[in-house]
Amino acid sequence: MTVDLHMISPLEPQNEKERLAALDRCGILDSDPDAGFEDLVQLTALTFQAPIAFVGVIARERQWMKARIGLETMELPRDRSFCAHAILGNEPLVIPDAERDARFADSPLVKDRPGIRFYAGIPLLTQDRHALGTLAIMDFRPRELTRDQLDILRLLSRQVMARIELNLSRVELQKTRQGLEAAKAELVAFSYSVSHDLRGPLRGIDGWSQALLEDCAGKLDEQGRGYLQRVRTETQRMGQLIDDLLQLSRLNQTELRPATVDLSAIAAELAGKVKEREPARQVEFLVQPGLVVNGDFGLIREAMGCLLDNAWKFTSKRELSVIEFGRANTGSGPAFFIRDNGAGFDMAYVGKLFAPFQRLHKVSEFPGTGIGLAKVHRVLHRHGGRIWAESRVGQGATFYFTLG
Amino acid sequence: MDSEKSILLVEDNPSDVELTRRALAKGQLSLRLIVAEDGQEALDYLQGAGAREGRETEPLPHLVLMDIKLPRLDGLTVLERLRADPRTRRVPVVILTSSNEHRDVSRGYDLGANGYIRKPVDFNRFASVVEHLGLYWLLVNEPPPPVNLP
Repeated sequence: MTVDLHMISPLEPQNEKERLAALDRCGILDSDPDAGFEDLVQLTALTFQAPIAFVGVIARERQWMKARIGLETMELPRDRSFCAHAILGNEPLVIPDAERDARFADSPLVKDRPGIRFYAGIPLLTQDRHALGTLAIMDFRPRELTRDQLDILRLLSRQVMARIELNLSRVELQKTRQGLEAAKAELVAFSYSVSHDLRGPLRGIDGWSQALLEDCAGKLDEQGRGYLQRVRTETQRMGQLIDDLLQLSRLNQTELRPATVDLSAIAAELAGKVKEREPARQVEFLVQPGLVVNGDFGLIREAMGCLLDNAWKFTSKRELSVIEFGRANTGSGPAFFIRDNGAGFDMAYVGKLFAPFQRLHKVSEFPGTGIGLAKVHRVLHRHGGRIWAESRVGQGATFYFTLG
Repeated sequence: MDSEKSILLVEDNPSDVELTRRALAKGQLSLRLIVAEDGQEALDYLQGAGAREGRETEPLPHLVLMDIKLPRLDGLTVLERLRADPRTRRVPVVILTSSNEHRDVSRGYDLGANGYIRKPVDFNRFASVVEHLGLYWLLVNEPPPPVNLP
């Protein structure tokens, strides 16, 4: 076995550790073949009429080629690599005649028959100025490159680098996505835990307060019984809050299943249900027919349900409730709307309207935890839609919404 | 032979056990409440195995009320094993639990639960639910015949 006594081994560039780290981040080393890189290499070879062209990166001990023409193997030891020299600087390395260059004259690549005589390689530089490797051409005869040809090679190398950076973004995007999936799974597990674990003790508090009321009534005065009743009321309210939070979080988790959704039919159905619940109330439901959208049926129905429930609730003090559903042209474009002639709200607080658990009315006036509009908002948001409202105190409210 | 009707309650939360006992007592049904505090205990009791080896398993309880979240074996696994054993395949099991997550409900029914009830936080409603359960399963429902009869 011969030893290369005369080929001068390439030195390592400064910041070799950081350079290797940058190479690692790019995810290009040992990656699968890529048509984009193959095309660029072929373009390079044709443009320069060179029998050999490649995109290579320099790893710790070897040169590895992402795409190549005219070379059999995709790897060679670093100490035999021309490119390992090229990465020592930021400028192109052009070797017009390798036989006459002390660095390469005794390299087996040069001494082979046929041997490499010409090399031109442009370092592929990252944003942080680390040289990953090169875009290079080689020939079996000595050659020179003109200024224009060097420029062409430089431009081509920039295309190669752009491709590498695109891949890097893709790798990072994938990591972010995985991170999100993990966070989402954690959230689901958390919600599940809440569903079981918090309600148990609440039931205990409520149950034992009731037990006190029933079994120790004799030992408690009116005041004591009153306090216990408050304990029970608060406990049940907390139970309701937990359920609302769970519902809200579930709206984020279920997969959207797009379908054609008949909003008019949903409005009519929900109107029917609500009238059944309180047949004594006088109500006029005006539903514009034939309004159809694309979206998730279950989620949309839930959102419509919340909006109609609100309209029903806030018109409860009117002798005749009038609730309308339809489509209109608004200042912001066409939108669906639900309008009621109920209590309305002060537009000064419109910013709080869709926040969870924010209410614009006292619990003593109208019951509720303030989750309904937050749910509607979330459903519409998931569909790429919007919701906004107009109202005057005592003069009803109109909720406009779009679905993407 | 003890012909008193019985309910097996599988529940590890002592507060819930006592609340259930109170609720059943209110209903004034004559019944015996047996409590197992985890899934393995429940299986051992019903199958006359493990810690309850050799116990006379007939007659089986008229109703098994089971929570899902239990130490050692969870409720759904217990249900699966009960349904796999010919002796306990028919015993009525109602899941009484805090969760109404779709996947739990689906799995419960798929594994052969006879009912699925979410425990209310409000004690009066909880008591009412338990009372109704007792009335239905012990008085109204026709219990399954023992397995050695065709």
